[in-house]
Amino acid sequence: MQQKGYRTTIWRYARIWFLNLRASIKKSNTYKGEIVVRFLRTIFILGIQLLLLTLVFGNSEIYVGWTKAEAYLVMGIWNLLNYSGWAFFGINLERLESRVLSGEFDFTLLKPLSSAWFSSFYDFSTYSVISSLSGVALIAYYFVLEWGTFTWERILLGCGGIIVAFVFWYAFYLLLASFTLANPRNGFLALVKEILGLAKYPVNIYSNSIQMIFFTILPIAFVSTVPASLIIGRMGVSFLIIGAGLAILFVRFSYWVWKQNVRKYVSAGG
Amino acid sequence: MKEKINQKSNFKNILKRITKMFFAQEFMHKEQLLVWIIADIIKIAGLCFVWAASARMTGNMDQGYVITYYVMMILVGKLMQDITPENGVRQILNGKFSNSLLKPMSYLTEYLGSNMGSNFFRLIVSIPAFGLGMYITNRLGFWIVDFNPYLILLGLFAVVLGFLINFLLGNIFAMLAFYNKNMEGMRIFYSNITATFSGEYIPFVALPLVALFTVQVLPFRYTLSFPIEILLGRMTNYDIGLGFLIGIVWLIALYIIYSIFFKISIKKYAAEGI
Repeated sequence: MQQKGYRTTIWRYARIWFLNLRASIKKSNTYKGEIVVRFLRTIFILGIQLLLLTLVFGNSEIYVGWTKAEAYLVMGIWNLLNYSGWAFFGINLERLESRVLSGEFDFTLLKPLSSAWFSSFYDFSTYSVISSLSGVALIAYYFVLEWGTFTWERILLGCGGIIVAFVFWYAFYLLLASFTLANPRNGFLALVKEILGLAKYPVNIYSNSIQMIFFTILPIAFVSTVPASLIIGRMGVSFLIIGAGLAILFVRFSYWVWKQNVRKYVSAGG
Repeated sequence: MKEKINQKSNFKNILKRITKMFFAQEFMHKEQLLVWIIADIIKIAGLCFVWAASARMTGNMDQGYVITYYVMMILVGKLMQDITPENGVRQILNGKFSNSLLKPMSYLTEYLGSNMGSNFFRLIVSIPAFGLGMYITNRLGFWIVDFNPYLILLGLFAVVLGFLINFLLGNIFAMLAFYNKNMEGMRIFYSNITATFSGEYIPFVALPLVALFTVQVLPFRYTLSFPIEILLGRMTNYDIGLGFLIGIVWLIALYIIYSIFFKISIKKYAAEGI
């Protein structure tokens, strides 16, 4: 129920988010050992992914049309999106189920804010930011290897592509998490994780028909392959525009589905 | 005390009941479990595509071997799962572990039963997906398993051995919760390590010799890859025998480590619950 005369501007959302961020950072200081574990895990992930790509390439220079450096870039973008996505909203949407079952979600509906926004961004996982460094390292490695061949245009396009990919990532999560409101314990978040996991590698490893699906009905190609292609220079600005359009549509659709599921929410938890 | 001794002799009945109870519990949330299994199949299919493309491009390994390996994983993986790193850790952290200590049986019986109930249910739900995977692989001409009864029997022994190793590893890991109150990062790290060294992400056929030797010596191989390797029928009798020997040595060693670690760690347990 929204309070009368209470305006929820974008600045108010930003202020709330920064307050939550500050509280989350303070909270994460409680367990300092966790930070060490996360760093070790990040190094482990990086090592295993480098080993995996080395083995996948074997003695060959090219794998499904991608060089090793380009494959590092794809994996780096995926790591960055996966772990930072978890830090920003994944952790909150994962907790949605327990909030619905315990009846805590009722309080979210009473707040003068968008319930979808609040359920997505009320906490921030500082620890997951550490894991996202594995993505930064892989992307940086690509830039070091290909230094001298870049243009500002490609870097800007790539940054745009990564932002669009982040929006896609959020839309996927929100869409499937929203069904928890109508039907908790559905396991959909595990599904979305694995579907997005398919984007860890260039989409060219899949058959042509599957690739077609990944560019249209289930647009996970925009999550890692398209941003990487924009940086490499294989795709132009048109792909960024199409991706941005699709991402906005997808987020709108996810919010609409969320609202439909809120209507089905029966507040039976507790 | 007398009651305890009687219950001990009744181990089989208790285990059966707990298994049935957890089977029923899993059945209650069957939709969720079904979606989890679909998610698991998507992950396996993704890895299948990665390695099949690699085999095709590099010629370093047989495409049929890699594809069949991952199709077999749909079924074998379900039998090897251990939920202790999640449930056991949670029980220690929230203080509910005290209840298990008061029961007239080892808490391991309860955990074993819960794993068995859960794994049997997951196995049943996964059979159609396995059948479909096998059918498609066969139609494409990549299926290499000929269902030799001798290898199936050995594979089943390897499954039991691997599950017990995984179970003990999970219980040893869970005891770290006696010392550390935030286990989330460690749990994820542990699951990354086991998934990597068990052959889930990287089939061992793709590894160079030095790395292959390392994973063969570690216990994680026996928790997933070893039974599948046996069922694929490309191992020599010597390799199978050596694998069983290393696996049994690990099982005994892990049991000893578990017993000592439990005796030391239980003294640290304050049952405070957070």
